[in-house]
Amino acid sequence: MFVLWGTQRTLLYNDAYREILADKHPAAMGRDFLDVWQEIRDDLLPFVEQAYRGEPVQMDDIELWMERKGYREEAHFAFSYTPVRGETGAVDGFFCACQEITRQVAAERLLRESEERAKANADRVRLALDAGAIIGTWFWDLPSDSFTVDEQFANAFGIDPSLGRTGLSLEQVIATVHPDDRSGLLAAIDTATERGGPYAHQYRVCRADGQYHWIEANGRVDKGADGTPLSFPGVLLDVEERRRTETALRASEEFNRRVLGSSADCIKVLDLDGFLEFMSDIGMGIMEVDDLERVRGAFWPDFWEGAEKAKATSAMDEAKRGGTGRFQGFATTMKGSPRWWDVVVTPINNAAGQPEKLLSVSRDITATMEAQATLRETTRRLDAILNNTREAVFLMDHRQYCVYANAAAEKLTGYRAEELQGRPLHDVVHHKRPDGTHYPIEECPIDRAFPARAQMSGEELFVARDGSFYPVGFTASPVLDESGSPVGTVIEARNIAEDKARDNALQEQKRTLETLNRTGSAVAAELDLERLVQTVTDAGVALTGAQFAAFFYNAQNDAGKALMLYTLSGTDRSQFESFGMPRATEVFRPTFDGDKVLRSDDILADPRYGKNAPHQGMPHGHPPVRSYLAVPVTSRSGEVIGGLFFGHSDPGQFSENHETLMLGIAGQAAIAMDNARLYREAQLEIEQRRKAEERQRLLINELNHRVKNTLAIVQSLAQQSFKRDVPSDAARANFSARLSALSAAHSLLTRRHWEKALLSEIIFSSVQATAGAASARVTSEGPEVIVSPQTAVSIAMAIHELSTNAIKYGALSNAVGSIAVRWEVSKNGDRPRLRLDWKEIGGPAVTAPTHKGFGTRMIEQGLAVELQGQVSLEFAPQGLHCAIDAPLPEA
Amino acid sequence: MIDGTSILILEDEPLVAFALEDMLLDLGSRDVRLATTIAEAMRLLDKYTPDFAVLDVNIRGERSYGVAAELSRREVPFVFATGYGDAEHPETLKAVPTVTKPYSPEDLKSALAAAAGLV
Repeated sequence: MFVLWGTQRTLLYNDAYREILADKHPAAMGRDFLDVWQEIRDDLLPFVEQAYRGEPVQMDDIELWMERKGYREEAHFAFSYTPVRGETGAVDGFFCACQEITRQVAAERLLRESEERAKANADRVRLALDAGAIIGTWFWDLPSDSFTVDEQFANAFGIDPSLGRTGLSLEQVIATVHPDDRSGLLAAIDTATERGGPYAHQYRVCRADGQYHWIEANGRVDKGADGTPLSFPGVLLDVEERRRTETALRASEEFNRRVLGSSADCIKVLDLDGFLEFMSDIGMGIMEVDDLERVRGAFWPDFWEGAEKAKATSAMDEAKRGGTGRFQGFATTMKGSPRWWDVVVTPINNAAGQPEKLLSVSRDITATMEAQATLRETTRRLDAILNNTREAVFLMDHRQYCVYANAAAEKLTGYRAEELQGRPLHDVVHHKRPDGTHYPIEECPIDRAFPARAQMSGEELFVARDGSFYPVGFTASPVLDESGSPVGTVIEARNIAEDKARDNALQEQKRTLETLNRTGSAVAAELDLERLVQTVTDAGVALTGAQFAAFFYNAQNDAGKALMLYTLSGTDRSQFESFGMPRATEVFRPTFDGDKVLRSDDILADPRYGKNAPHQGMPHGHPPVRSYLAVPVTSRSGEVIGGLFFGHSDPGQFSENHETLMLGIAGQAAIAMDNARLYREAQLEIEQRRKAEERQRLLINELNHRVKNTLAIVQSLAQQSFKRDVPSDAARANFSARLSALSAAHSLLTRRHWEKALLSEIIFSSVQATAGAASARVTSEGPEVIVSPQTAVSIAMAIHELSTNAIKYGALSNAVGSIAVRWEVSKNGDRPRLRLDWKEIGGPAVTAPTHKGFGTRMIEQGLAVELQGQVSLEFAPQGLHCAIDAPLPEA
Repeated sequence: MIDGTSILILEDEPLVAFALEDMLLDLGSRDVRLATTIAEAMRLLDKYTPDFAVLDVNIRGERSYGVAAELSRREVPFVFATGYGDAEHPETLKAVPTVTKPYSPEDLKSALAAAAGLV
């Protein structure tokens, strides 16, 4: 008994309760009751609270799992709680009387169990007997080792039944037991007799028919009070059928085990709630489970994570409903290896056809999944490449039918892949030539790749959906199988219209640059103005594509007079001859003023055009001009040299680019023309200087010659004058006079630049130099005759001698004589002739001289020789007559 | 050397020719004939072969080399007389002695002697 006191439920107890407390004593004394019985606090609390509320508690048997001896143990108690009230009437505590009834309860339970067992045994025997399973009974009196068996027993053991009734020894009984089972049997019997109680053992025994049968002996060893085994009764059960069933079952299990063992899958058996009961060995290997015990009882869906777990649960539910749950999912093995699984969950039905267990078969499909993933990745990459490449790719089969076309191919052709597939690509996009004729596939180089087994490439024209053509660059490569036979063709194609346009533009630009370069170097090297402007004009035509071009430019002629010239390109000069030069009309003025470029897409539509008489536009016969481009050519000095004009009969032919080009050309032309002009001026100056120098050289040479010749003449005059028979005074006077005459002739010739002289002048000059004032009496008359300087000198000297003679002896020797000099030119015969007469009159009577002096020699021989004619002197009494008849001297 | 010889003169300037004529006569020449044109000189040469010849190079704008060639052919010694100081004769006539106007009788005489020595 004990008392709980106060709100602290302080425990106070007597010695009897010490036994109940066991190891908790003495620490329990004075402590909180509920703390002391911590392990059963929840069981006790309701009663304690009830008592503290003032209600008595009565309990006949309470089962409590106490821990009072260092381990938990079952204990049973009968008790009563009686509340104790204080002065105020409040419950201060309670008194408990209690008795531990654990032993009684256990004894009762044993008894009950024994009774139940006995009843079950009796039931079993009854059932066995009813079923005919018992094939015999025995009673073995152990102290006497005497078996009494019934007839069935004897039959079963192949013993004479009569002996069974009188008593048999153990040795006799077991004589027919299978030798292999005999020792086991004896051991089992020894164990049973020593221990006492029930006994059961199976073994084979030989019947009368000589056949061994499996039987089970069920018996009990009863012992005496001192423990001595006294009796051993029992029955025999025929277990042949059971054994056979068990063997079959074992065989079946073995088969199943082998099946499980031979399956590469992970085979698991789950209970209906999904807890794992079994896993095949190979399954363990796959799942990397070392010990089945570590996963047995695990909740199978927990092997999965996330969405996979839901799939597993769903598959399990399907199987529980009798269906087949199936899914593929990812899960790691017990060691964390990543795996893909194909899982089938099916029910294992009981005999009634109801699901009893679940069978889960998981197949490791990681390799397949990876292969699929690789394939998908490969396909995805291929698609990514083929659908992202700008190259159109077609795959053709062995019939040249299109089996594949990528996105670029669709874009290139304008057909969807489905429209291209299943027929020759050629028939869709390549069946027609630009001239509209049919393009047979046999002639198509693209389709040649297959039969030729060679890669073909080139450029072709494809037909668009709308019938238009577009250029493509293609490469067709045969696809060969392992044996090298073509099985298809891969065609790559690309629209090269832009490339071509770019190429053309590049070519055009290259041509332009070449023309510019060529023009630049040509005009830079060209110093001939006319060729230069022609080059520039031709270049302009080449660069602008103009049909007509003209270059009007200012130039100077040799006389230094400014004039406008022009050169043409693309049209015949004769077409232009009849037109006047362009004037500074509104259309032309900006160009001639050097103002700016004038470019018109259609000059006929220009408001400045056609304002001027007389043509009101282009003169009749002018090449038809619609597109018009005019560029001024301005020299470095700012002076307008001219203008370049370009025309085309179609409107809109000249672009801004052309304008820029022509400005460049005009600039080059201006520089070149400046250079040409400078060069020409320099050349002129050089030529002039050269001529001047040549003239000077000739002059000096001539002067030298003339001086020397003159000196020779003077020498001759001196020689003639200073003859031995002439008195020196007279000789000096003659010589002096002759020098004067020569000098006068030279003076005259010098005035005439020693080129030519007039006969009249020579005669006059010589007479005057010799006769002075008397020369007034000399008249001369005749046509103009020009003579050379040398002839002039001879004539002058001859006239001097005549004059001197006249002064000394002739017409001028008195005051009244006169001389008439007359000449004429007659033109009969091949060559004109000169006839000159010197006639003196009124002088003293003339007598022929006895001595012929220099004068006579000069006149008769010298002059004749000079004139290549005849000169006669007639000393007529009335006056001297000198007659000259000679071919007209050449000037 | 010149005594008693016949000499052909080719000189288109009469005054100069007179002086030369006189000079040669003074030097002892017996027969001096004057031609004032090349044609006349050739005509004279058709009729006779002189012992010597004096040729003006420039005859009315023509050169007297044709006459010189004929004289060379006939091995007639001759000299050139010229007013041009820098006269350049053809290769075959380079060695012909040349007197430059105005010349003295001595100049002429030694030139004729030199010409005779060449032949």
